[in-house]
Amino acid sequence: MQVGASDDQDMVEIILDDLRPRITYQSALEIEQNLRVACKHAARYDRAPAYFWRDVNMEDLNDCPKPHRGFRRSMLVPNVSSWEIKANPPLVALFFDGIGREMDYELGIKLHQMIRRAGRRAKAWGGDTSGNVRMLGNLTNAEDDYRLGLG
Amino acid sequence: MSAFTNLAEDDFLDLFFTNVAFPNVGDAAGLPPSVGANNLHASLHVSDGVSDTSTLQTDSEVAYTGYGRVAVARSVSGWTVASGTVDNDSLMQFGEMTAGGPDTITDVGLGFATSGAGVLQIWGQVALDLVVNDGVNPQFAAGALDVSIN
Repeated sequence: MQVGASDDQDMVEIILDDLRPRITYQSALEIEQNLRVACKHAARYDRAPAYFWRDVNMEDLNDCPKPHRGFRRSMLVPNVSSWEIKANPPLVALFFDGIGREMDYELGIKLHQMIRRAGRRAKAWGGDTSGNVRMLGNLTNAEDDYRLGLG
Repeated sequence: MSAFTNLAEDDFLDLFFTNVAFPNVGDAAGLPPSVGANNLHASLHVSDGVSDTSTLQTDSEVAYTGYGRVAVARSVSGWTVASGTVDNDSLMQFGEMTAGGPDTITDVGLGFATSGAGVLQIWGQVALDLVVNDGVNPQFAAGALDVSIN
C-alpha cells in the first residue's frame, strides 16, 4: 500500500493509494495525533509494547523551514470536508468524506509521522508560530480489555 | 515572529510532566523542578463540559460511586517525553462504577489535587466517548493518554 504526506503551501496532501485528500494544516495536526492514538490502541492487540511507536524516526520533525514573517494564506482549498480515524485492531483506517483505506498499525505510525512533518511545514509556510497543546485519550473499559486479554 | 524551539517544547513538557529542570532559562540551571514533585491526577468529565476557560477540576467531573482520580507520578517513571509528545508509562485505572450512572465520558483532565476543586491544568477529549454503567471500569492503557505540542 502506498502512503505518504506532503506539504503544499499551507495545505497537506495525504497519499492513500489512489486517494489524495488535501486538508488544512490544522486538520493534519489533529489527524496525526488521532492516528497515533489509534495505532497505539491497535498495537495492544498485537501485544506490541506501548512504546513501540517511538522507534519511528521523529528526527524529520527538524526538517521544517523558518516560519514566514506574518500570516498568509494560499488560494488552495481542501478537497474533502470530513475525516475520521478508526482502530480496527490490528488495523487502523482513515476515512475522508466516508471513503477510506485500512492499513496495519506499523504503517499507520509511519504515516502519522509523515503527516505530522508535513503539517508542521505547512504551518510554518502559513506563518503560524502558535504552539498548541493537545491531549487525547483512548479510554476503554477494563472489563472489555480483560476479556480480550489485553490486561 | 517567534516560537518555542523543538528543544524548548520538550524542556517545557519535561518540567511539567516529569519535574526535570527546564535548563538554560535565566542561568544554566534554569527553571528548577518543584521541591515536591507531587503527582498529576487524572480526572474524567462529561457533557463536553471543560474547555480552555475551565479552572476547577470538578467542572463537569463524573461523580459516580466508585470513581476516584488517578495519580500518576510526576517523574520519568510516570511519563515519557519525546519529540514534542508525552504519554503515560503505566496503566491508569479509574474506579469501577457501582452506582450513580450512566455517565458518558467526553473529556479527561489533569491537575494536582487528589480530590476536590483543585486547579485544572490540561484538558483533552477522549477519542471515543465511553458510556459508563454499573460494572464498567474506565482506564487508559499504557500510552493511551497522549499529549502533543504542535
